Amino acid sequence: MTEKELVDGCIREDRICQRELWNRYSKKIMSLCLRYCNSQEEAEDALMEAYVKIYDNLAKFRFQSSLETWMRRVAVNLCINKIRARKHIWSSITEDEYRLGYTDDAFDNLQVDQIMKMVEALPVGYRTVFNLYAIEGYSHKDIADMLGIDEGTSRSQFSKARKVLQQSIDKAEGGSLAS
Amino acid sequence: MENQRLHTDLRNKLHDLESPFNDRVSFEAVMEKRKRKKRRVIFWIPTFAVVAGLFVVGGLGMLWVSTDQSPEKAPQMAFSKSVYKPKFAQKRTTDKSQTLTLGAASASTEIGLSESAVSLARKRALSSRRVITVSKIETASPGFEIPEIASPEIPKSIESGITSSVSRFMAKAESPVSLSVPTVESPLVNETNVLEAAHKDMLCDPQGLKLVEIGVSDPEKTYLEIPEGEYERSWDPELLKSKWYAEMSATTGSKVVINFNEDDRLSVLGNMYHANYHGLILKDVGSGFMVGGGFSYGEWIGNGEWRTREFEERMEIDTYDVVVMIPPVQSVRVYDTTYNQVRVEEMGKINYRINKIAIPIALRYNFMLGKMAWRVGAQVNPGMTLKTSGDFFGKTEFMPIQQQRMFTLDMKLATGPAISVYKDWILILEPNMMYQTFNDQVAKKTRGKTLTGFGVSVLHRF
Repeated sequence: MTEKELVDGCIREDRICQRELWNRYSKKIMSLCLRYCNSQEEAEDALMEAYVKIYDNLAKFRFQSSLETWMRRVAVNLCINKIRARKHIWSSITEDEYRLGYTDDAFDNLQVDQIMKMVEALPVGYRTVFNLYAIEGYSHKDIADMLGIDEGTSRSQFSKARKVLQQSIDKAEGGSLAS
Repeated sequence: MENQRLHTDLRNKLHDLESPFNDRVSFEAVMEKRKRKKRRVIFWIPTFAVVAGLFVVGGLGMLWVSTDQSPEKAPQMAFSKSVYKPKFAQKRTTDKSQTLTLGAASASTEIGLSESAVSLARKRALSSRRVITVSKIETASPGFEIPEIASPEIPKSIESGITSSVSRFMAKAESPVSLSVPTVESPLVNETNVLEAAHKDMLCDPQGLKLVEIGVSDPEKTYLEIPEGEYERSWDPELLKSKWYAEMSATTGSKVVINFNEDDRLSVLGNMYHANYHGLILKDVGSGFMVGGGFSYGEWIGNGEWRTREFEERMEIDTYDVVVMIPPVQSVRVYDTTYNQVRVEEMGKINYRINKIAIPIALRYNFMLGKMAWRVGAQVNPGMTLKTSGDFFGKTEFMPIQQQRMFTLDMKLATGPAISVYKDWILILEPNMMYQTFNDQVAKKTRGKTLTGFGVSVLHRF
């Protein structure tokens, strides 16, 4: 079933197409939600809400990007709204700290699930900006607009996230070497 | 750049990552959630419709009230004080029109008032409550003729003139008086619903009616004034208004009794409620004040729970045997006595009920705030109890009041907007504060509480 057929079917409320959409992307969207949410339960709730939104708004999909990209964007927006509702206080960072970051081969020796765990372990502010910038590929300006923060805050959060991640990577590699 | 590459690597690694979820998350669950959401929307649509409807009705009501309260303005200017004499108007059946010829320096400017009649009458004679004023002026000059506009509604029998007054005024004039009418279209027949305005004005301007302006146009040239005196007094529309009102009111209020002081031996946590119903006859005594009296019935109940805290000193004796290992082996019994202070709490239910009747004496003051009429009400209700039961309570005490015939005195202060709901019917919404007291015959003490709440009054003008 092509994307077009899938979308058209879902718009027609065709249960088979809707189920196919769920089967095809739900686990990927769950992975995305997990990176933004604090817990498995929260991520699952976000996943279901995201799918409700997706089913309700599929008619607005214009095929200007892939269906998966559009769905991810819907899910990201939903997670961002949840985070914004929590009124997280963004911490500031100095310029020196901003320059700190992980080394070029930082993630080479790590498994995906290890990276995932490290990302999940980041504080909410760091994690959100890191996800949006490093993984989703948004610019700091976009992130600032989405989260309602300054561009500088977005940069500083990202920088701190990198620093914490580097520490986690060092720890993980040290642990693996020791073992 | 290195970081960009890293991010790309990371993105590639995480992008296609799939994470499992629990059984509670399923396609069916999503569909069910979606269905519920839709149902919620459907539920809200009628709710919003009802709320929107209420707002529209409320808005229209306010508009109606504010429109009615603005005094009617006739398009033309007229006498500074026009009065009418409803009683006399009916009596005057003879046509007292006089012809006035005013002296003029130039013949061409001479204006004769061949007929000048200003009739004011109550439309009660026409089986209606309207007062109709007709000003009819004819000039001698044919070019200056004002077409007569007949009012078919006015029978000749009720026409009455005030031309004698006009004549006196005109006679005094030294210079020629020119009556000019700007346009023929200018309405010379001017109907002013004075009584209706009086009724509505009462709702918005309790201090009395403003005089309604009637008459002919062009105030710059013509200004006819009826001299003050008998006419004005007897034609005062204020006199037409009824001064008597009936008021029916329901008032509720409550008070929470709570004691946060842990040191008190007795604490009561309870609620008091009252409901008071009264009927009053009020008289408008002018300047926005009304006084009156009537009958009132009230119920005052309270329920809650009491708690006592007492410290008890309890003695505890521990005994143990000490064995002395020196031969011969002996044991010694030791008694260890300690005194502990233990806090003992007891709780129980408490309630009371007082039914009473009273003869209220009421004072009301009506005033305008913006376009809204408001009322402040003060009331004293001396009365007596019909039935009492239970234990009346305060924060730290309670006392039995069963089967006592007691004198009561309640004082009420209330204020709120007055809304005209129908002709001669006014609704008043009044937040209020009511101080309720009774004289405890057993304790020989007057006890009272202030309860706050909300009341609704309906006022009817006879």
